[in-house]
Amino acid sequence: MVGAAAAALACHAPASISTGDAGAGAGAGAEEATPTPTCVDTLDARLAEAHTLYPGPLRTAVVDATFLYVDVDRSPFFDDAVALAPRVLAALRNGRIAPHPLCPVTVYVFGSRARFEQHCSDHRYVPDGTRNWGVWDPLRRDVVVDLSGGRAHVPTTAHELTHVVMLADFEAPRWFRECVGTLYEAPVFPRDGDIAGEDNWRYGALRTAVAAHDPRAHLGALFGMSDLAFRGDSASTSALNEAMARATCQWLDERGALWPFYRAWRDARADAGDLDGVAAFRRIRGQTPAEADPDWRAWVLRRGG
Amino acid sequence: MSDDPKRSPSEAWQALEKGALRDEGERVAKLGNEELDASLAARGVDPEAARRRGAELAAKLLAQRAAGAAQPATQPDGKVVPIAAARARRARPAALTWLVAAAAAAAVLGGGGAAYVALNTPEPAPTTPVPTVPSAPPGPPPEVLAKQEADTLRGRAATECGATHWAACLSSLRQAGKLDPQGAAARPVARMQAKAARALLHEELDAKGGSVEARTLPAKLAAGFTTALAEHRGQAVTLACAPGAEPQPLCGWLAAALTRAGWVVTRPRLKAPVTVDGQVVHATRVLVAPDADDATQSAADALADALEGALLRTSGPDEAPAGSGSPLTLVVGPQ
Repeated sequence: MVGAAAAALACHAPASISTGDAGAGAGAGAEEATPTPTCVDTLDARLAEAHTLYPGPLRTAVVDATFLYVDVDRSPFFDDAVALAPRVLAALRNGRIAPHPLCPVTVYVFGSRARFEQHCSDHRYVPDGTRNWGVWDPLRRDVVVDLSGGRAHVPTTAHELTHVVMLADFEAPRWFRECVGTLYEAPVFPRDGDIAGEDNWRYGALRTAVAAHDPRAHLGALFGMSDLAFRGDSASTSALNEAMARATCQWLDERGALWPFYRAWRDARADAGDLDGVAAFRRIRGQTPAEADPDWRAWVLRRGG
Repeated sequence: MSDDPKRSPSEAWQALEKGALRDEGERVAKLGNEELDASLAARGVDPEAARRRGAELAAKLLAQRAAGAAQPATQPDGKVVPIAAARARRARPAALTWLVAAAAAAAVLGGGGAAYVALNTPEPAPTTPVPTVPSAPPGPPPEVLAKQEADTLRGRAATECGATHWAACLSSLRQAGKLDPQGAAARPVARMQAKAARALLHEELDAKGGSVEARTLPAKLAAGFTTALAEHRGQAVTLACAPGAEPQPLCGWLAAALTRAGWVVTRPRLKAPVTVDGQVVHATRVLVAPDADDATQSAADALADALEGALLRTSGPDEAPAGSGSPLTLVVGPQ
């Protein structure tokens, strides 16, 4: 049974985990769910929905009284995914993304590629490129992750959790959401409460594009890019934009500029200003993205992954 | 998930509960008002104002219904007109506005700009003398008024969809569907609604994509694809595949799955990718001739939905360019 009372609105108390192996109808704890005007449902309702989708015994865990983790098909890495969540959430809330109360979220963890694909098919989670490894659906407030690739894919959950907490703080353009989200899909934790991203597989194609002076591959390209353009009309464009976004956040983070930039841009946009982020970038870096491009390109060419 | 008693999927989404669009319709219908409000607010549409509009509309209709029982149909100059003539006059603008709304929707679906013509076109003045009768006919039937308002909302939705304001478009269509469920079943409206629902979902999703690999059609998804399309057995389709090492195997799988569904597949050998309006078509796109019969139009909707169910990025159904020569074409472009 899901131990944490299904609080419909969880604040940023220290991250916690409770686990259960609930059958359908077992309920989500003895305490009554607390309805609030903000959230459309509760962890109890989400547990019931998970049982409707996937009948039978279902291993679950609740993190932070907000995230209902569901082990759909006995993934061997379910526990790893659950254990990662509090570290990620604590680090994101530690001087990075401002903590806000969150409505419940279901995190469906799949160990089988076929089951993951069927779930995505049922919900029409169509990838921009060739395939998805994880999805955050803010309309349903569902996260879906495919861990069939092994333990190395567990941090996909960090990518998606970042989207969840960021959405509550900053309604950013897609490129910047992916900038931050992709950074933590390959996370390192230098110390408790700290998090950084390290080089990953996305940089192979980006290095090639930058080395070839592909006109699409430069730092200034992202600033002001529409959500539609960021998705691109082809898989290669979509992948290149994702890689550029990740490289931008990692490059900024290594210079201690990511979170000052984040806050500056978030606050400006909250006042309907700085739509493209250039002013915030200039304020934090003392130069425009175009002026910073040579440094960024050189940095990209030194990346591993 | 959400259990919002305010929403009424069966009422507002009647059209989408048919055939191959059913799953998507159910999925979007399950969005609670709060979720849709959040999307509206994020796009600068005031959900409260939208609700207020709806309430005002309802009040207006109720008032008109009440007034209609006692109010004679009169000309501005006070002349009393016969019931049949009055009804005919009222019916004309409704038909006109519906056609304009449908045309605007078709323009959007065709990929062009939404040329939404103002729906409040002045009514034409009667051209023949109207004899007076000493009767007191009823006012406009509420269903006619509701349909007029629904048409106006659908025209607005066409503009909103044309501007890719998907949440606002869906909201307008939902309101229209509540006023005029029958009109929601009309193909241009149902197609616009399905397109907006798909686009909204795609717009909102944040996904972790993988590296670029050749597209595949996994066996289980292929089986679902075939099952979804078997209802349209006998449908002819042209499979226009871009040349190259990547699209061709995918085309082979799609051709096999379509054939298993009983479709009649023609697969011309192309030397270059298909272009529409000078742009190479990437991913997949469903094109249907505007004068195609109803079965083909229905199959086109089902095909677009089944492709998404197979997790293949898809656009359409869109209007086929003039001279394309095939009632229904599935374009498979490069990735």
